[in-house]
Amino acid sequence: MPRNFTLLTLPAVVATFALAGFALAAGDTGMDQAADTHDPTQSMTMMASRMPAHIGMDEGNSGAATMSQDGFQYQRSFNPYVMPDVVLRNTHGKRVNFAELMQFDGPVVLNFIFTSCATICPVMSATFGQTQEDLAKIYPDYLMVSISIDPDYDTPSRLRDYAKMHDARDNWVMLTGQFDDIFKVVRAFDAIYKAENKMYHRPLTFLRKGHDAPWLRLEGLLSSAALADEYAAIIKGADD
Amino acid sequence: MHFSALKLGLRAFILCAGLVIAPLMAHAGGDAELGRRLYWEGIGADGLPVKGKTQGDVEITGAQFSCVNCHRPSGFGTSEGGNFVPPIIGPVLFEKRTANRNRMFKELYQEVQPPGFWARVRQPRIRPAYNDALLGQALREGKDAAGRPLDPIMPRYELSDEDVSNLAAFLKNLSTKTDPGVGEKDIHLATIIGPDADPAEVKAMMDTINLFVTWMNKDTEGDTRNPTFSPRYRSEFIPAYRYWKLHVWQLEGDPSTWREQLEAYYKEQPVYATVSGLVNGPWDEIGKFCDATHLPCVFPNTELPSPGDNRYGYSIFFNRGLPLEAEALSMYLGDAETPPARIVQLHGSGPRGTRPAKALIEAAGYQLESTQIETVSYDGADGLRAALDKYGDAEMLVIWPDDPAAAVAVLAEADPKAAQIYLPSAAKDAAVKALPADLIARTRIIWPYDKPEHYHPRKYRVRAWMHSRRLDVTHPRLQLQTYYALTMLQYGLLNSITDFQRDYLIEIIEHEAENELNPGTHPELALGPGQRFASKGAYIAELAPEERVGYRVISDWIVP
Repeated sequence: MPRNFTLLTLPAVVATFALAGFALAAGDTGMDQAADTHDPTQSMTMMASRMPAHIGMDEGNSGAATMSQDGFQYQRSFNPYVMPDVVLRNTHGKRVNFAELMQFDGPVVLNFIFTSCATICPVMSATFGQTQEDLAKIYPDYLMVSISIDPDYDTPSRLRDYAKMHDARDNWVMLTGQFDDIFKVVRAFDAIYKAENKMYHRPLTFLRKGHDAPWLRLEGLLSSAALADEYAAIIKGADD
Repeated sequence: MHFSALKLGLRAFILCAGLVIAPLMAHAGGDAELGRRLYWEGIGADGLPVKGKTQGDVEITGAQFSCVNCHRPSGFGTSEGGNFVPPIIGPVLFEKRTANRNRMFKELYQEVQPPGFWARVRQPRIRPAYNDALLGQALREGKDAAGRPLDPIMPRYELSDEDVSNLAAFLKNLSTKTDPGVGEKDIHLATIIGPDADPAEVKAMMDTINLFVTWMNKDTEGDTRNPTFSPRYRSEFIPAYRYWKLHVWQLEGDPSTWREQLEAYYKEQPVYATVSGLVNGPWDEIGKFCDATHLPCVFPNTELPSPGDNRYGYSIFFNRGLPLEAEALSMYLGDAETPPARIVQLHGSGPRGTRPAKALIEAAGYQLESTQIETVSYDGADGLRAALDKYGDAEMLVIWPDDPAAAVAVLAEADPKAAQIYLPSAAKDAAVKALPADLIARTRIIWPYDKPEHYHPRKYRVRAWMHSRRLDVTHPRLQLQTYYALTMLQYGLLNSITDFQRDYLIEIIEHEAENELNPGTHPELALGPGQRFASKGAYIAELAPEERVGYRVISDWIVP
């Protein structure tokens, strides 16, 4: 029923079909026997060069990400984000001024999640949960922040249950709020996802040393050890 | 467990008419029921939560990391945050992986994704069929049937042999058969109408549905008969087309008899899903039927959805209806600098009265601790008149009528002296028309819909669609909601291609609901995995006869 796609992005769909056709045509002409000796890196390079321009979401997320063979790779960058002056709500339903919260003069570890998220948030939250102990050993006076990008569904009580499930300590703050306010924060961290559909949100983790230090942006899923290492590195100030 | 052994000699795709036909080995001994428990709850054969590791060293356990989270109830997988979760339904898992255009198309058409994802789904990932041993290797060691490592997000689980064979037994039957209601050419759908639905509203809804179905079927006819299909791809989707056959399930009598009526309708002609619908009474009995039959009931127009959060239920609603309105009111009043000292709520004796009244009492327990709430039940217009005589001079009146228009008429006539009167959204039109100016100034409504000044591009498209086809738009919100329900079904079926699995349909709707298809009825319409209410809050509004819409929003969007 391809007719309906004209409602959305016809050129993209045409390109997609054309490429699907290409891939399958390749299958018809001997991809089967090539399977065993198939070099994925090579075919990915080939595919990357055929990728429609609009697919590349940003500079840091193009070539290298395409080439990465596994989910252990993540991108790092330092950014001077400006914290928006918005009021959010914590797990107790209390109002929290986000800019004031970010005045916390110590290390902050932050991510965006939503509680009904099935795939990456549970992993990100489990990673935060498990790493709490390691972070405390490295430098205990930190603040951990998880901000819901599905604020209408993630009421304070849902976040409370979520915090409990992940054995969140008291210094792990979970925030929800008005949709527009949440999105000011999302925008401030350059964490906007495509089509305003939360299912396209990316696995991002942000760390910073003190309230005037730049934010380290980690794009990709982390192991617990990697998160602890990144934290230790910013505490040491190796990367500022 | 029985599959016709028939190999289709098609290289590019193996699906035909929704039936995946593949030779499968008979399974040795796994318990599919225990496999289901493992899949859904992460509980192993020993009755304990299974353990595992994701991303190399992150230890995980239990339901939060059970298979269903990522691979979904249907087993068709998902994509999220640039992570592609492949389908693990029986016919895919236990069959040699070949380049399959229809399977690939679905993966390709996940809209904008990061480049890593883009490249990943274009790899053919050819591999041999899984068997129990290979499945065990994948689950424990993270190696696929061809020996390649799986992405580290896929947990490496500590599973016993019994767990693996139980899971295999479950997966072999997962999403293997086309669900009822789908024929070779037609797909049967129903819309449910309650006995006390307003006839003018029913007409507006049915006109919208009939027009939509007529045009869907015209398009289907044109597309499938048109020889301009390109040989390379479009023609390959012909097996995905079905003519929509709509059945109207008109319910009669008391809600306690609805279930039986629905079962009789379903027995006569099973349908694949119900779409839209208009029911004044509680959805409970219908919801139980939808759940028991595993029948998707897509966005009915009801103000009394089944109670509870309905996670992974088969009914999908716009919002929580009247209880939501009551909770939003409680939160609004609780947020005021000086919450009211006393509230009198008068409610009709039917569920449209009792349910919001109960919800207000419960919510006020947290938000209005120092407010005295007096709750009075009444019967009919005379009952309301008597109650207003007695309580009309209360500082704050909240009224939850069974019949909003009748209650407004009584209000206009009784002219209670309360400083503030709160009415549910359904009373808005009648109140703007019938109340005298003095009462209008004191009356507020709870408004769980969008305010008129919000911009929704889709609203214009849908209205243009309606006007150009000469649809009489007498009940704009109802008709736009109906259109949205139909769109959700349309997109759900479109993305299913030939995989007519109801669970999969619901999963696609969960995903599509948020995709800018909102026709402007609610500020946001969005679902998430397992979520069943697309809009979650309400405004408080004052009545404003001078405005085109008759009201003016005076609060933030309140999400209780």
